[in-house]
Amino acid sequence: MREVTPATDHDRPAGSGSDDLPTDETALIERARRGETAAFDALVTLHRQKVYATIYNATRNEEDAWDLSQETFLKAWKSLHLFRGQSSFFTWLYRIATNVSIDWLRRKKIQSGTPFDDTILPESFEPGSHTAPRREATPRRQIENREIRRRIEAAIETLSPEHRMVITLRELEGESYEAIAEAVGCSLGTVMSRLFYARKKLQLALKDLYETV
Amino acid sequence: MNTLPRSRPPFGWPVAALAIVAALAFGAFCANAGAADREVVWTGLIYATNEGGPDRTPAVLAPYARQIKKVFGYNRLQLLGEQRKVMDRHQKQWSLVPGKGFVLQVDSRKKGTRGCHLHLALSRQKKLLVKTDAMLAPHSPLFFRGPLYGRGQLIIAVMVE
Amino acid sequence: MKPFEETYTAWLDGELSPEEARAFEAGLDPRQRAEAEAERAATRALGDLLRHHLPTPPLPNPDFFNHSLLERIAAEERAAAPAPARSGSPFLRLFWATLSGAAVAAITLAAVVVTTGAPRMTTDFYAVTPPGEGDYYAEILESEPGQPTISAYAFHSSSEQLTVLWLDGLDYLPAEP
Repeated sequence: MREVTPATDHDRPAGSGSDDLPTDETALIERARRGETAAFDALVTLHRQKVYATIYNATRNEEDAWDLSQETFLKAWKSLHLFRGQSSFFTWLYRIATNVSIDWLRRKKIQSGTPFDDTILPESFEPGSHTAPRREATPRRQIENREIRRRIEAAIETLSPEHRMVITLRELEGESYEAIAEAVGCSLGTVMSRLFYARKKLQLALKDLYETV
Repeated sequence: MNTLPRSRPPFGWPVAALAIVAALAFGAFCANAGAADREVVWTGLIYATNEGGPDRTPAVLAPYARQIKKVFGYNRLQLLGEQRKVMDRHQKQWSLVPGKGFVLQVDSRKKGTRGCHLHLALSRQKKLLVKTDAMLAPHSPLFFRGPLYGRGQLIIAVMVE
Repeated sequence: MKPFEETYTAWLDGELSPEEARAFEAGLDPRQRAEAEAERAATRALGDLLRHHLPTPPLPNPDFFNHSLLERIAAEERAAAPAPARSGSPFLRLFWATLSGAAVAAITLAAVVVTTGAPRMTTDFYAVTPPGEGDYYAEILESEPGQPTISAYAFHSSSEQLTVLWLDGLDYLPAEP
């Protein structure tokens, strides 16, 4: 991963705004809208971890998540004038992050030539032999955990981008149906429908794991 | 010695050259476009869903129903609206309104050896959604994945007949 | 999407109100209730499995993240700033202006030749090998979204003979009653 010297005030572009920044998010947004990058920097600091987490959970790749998080904030900067305060700033940002993730997942699927297929297929993964008792020696458990993680990620890869976003937002980030609907831009019914099918598909692929681990 | 005038066109010489050449090209295009046949363009607003009920796939989409269902992941298609227009060779800009506030504008088109080159702009309630250049052979529809609607999905189809 | 699946999903997640949950459970016979309880246990186990084995790492190098982002913003704003007044020989400017104008003219006239069906234009003009007469052919040459929150990309399925301009980021439309 990138190894660089952290930014200092000397690195800030000239005219980027006062150092005397408000703590209130609304005031920060207003100042950022006027072009104050220092205010936007403060907003980024507030939300970067959550944005990164959302994108990482969808993409399962640190470098891509880092790049896409940057892209999310860049898009937010460019479209700050479109933010009307009808939702919270984070909800608006979350929406951009999920769209960026879904687009990336779609491009990745198209480039890999994999057709969209959300039919629920019979289990197509070989069951691993996870019969070792839970109190096995750590190195063996580490190997098993790596294999489990690989299988889980492979199963998630088979979901469409929309189903993948919904299942990761719900299961990994614990978001409510309403928050997911707002982030992904769909109805509550669609959220529940996608959850239903995504869970069915993952259960078929991973049943042996959660029944034995 | 400087023989050039001190002032210059506001946007530079290349843009001025482009404007002159474009005007000449447009004149040539108009002169040559007289041979183009009229074309009929159809656009439809499709509602795709998994809700229960009878399958009312419209006849115009029947050749593509299986593919649409598979690609979009729904098992029922319903036509919410459609419009058909005869493209006159003298018309440069015209609009098709398939329904639900969607407007498909065509700015210009040329006929290639394989199909029609369309400049398309899809809008909804005066908000531009996307602009695209597409080459369409007759009876080869292009589909726009629209927004989620109700408990399904809207799909906008455009086809040269 | 049948309402039952929505209600069922909400019941599995414990998202129904007590009254709704009672009404849902009252509609199940003992066998269905046992299956539903097993499904609920499986749903919880799946969630536990995912959360346990897919931890989210913290954002690496967070200070550099901000620094890099601000650098990109500054670079884009510099690129968008108007160009400074030109200096240099007016004859050189005239030369380059003429050359660029000639290039534009050549390209535009070539486009006119194409539209008039000049016999020298071959199938190389197309990005894909054109299919036979009567076959499906729909090609997206270029696209550009109209809003910053919308993404557009072309999707062509050779096996399904279908071309879609896939738009993401569109607002959901509620169905009219």
